[in-house]
Amino acid sequence: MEKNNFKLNTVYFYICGGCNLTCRHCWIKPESAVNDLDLEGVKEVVDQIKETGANSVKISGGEPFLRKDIFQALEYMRQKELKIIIETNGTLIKDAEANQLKKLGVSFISVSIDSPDALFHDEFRGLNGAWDSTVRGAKALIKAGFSLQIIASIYRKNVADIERLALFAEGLGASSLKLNPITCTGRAEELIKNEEFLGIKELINLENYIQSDLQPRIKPRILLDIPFAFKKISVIRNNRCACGLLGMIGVLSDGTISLCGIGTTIDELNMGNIKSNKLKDVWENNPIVNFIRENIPSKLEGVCGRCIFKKLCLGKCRAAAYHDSRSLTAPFFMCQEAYEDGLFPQTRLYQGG
Amino acid sequence: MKNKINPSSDIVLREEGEEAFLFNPASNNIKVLNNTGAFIWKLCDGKHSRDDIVNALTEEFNVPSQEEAEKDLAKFLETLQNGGFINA
Repeated sequence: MEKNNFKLNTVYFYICGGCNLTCRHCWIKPESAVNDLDLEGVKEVVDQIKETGANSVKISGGEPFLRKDIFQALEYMRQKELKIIIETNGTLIKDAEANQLKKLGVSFISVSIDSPDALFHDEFRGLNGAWDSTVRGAKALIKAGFSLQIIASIYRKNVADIERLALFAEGLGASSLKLNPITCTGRAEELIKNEEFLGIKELINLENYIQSDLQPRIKPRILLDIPFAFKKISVIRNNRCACGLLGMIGVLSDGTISLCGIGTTIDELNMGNIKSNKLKDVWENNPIVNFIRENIPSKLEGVCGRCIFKKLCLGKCRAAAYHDSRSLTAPFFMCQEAYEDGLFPQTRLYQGG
Repeated sequence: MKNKINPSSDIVLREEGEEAFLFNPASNNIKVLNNTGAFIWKLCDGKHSRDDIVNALTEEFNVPSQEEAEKDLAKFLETLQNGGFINA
């Protein structure tokens, strides 16, 4: 396997370990910013990203805008000509911040809104007034000229409200609405225990409803984040949004180098720390990274191994697979569940090989 | 089979209502096909030449000219060949 075939494209930088919300579904479960890198440490991360040849950084948290030096950090990324993508809860963004982000040339921002109803959102996100602040932030970002994506976590209690949420996103002027089924790590484990998550049958029905009924009436593009196996070819053709597993790596707020944000809850997927290791060296030589290159998608197990779209999908979320089974090649739970329930599309399976 | 268009081995065509795609198990590559693409693919069976396919296209579809059909077919076959779906 040629290492040089695997170019690092994007570093997911979980720049802040703290959060001002306590979202019930949060897969990372941010608790404290005590061990966060200082600004010099952040600059070191950026320098190391440049050494790898990566050209893009996705900023997430925790909540990135809790950092008092966030704009200095972003300015340094801009100086180093990195493409900047940000995921935020939007609560700390007003017009001044939005305009500053635009000036910094930030490429893309997504903001989390789970419901058109403030009370519902606030209860889910664990803070009264969160919805008001987030919607204010979303409006400020759109006013500043961003093509904004709204991200909603969907589960049993808000799935019936998808149409209202889509209309709300349209009313705000968002360019897209991404619907993330809850991932079963971090705080979401409680939701899973309470059976509040959606099963694959409901998700397949939701995808069919979105494509045949909702999307034709709604301007923002609606992206339900389920595996390609359950999406129509025409939908896949227009949106190949996937994890990018073979071209990404994560850096946590304390400098830990990890597969992605999963490193906050699963230590064995961590691969060193920016303070004592070089990101470039980890990307080129770490056994976990090498294992992924050598085994994904070719050695995916279960239904993922037989799926025609495995090269495109890469087993959807390997962090979730590892969380469930402690194996990076295990089948993705949604797909395996669908297969066992007779819901996996037969045209997407390959019998031979 | 000189001048005939031969599919690579094990290529799978999947049709899903109005949509279709090819799957190459050797490379895991996918090639999405529209109606015309699926029609052409079914003629890439080792029995038809480029001329046969152009004639079939002219009969089946509202093709502006033979020359146009030849040009479009050449382009399409090139993408199939680059993806390893047909033999050189």
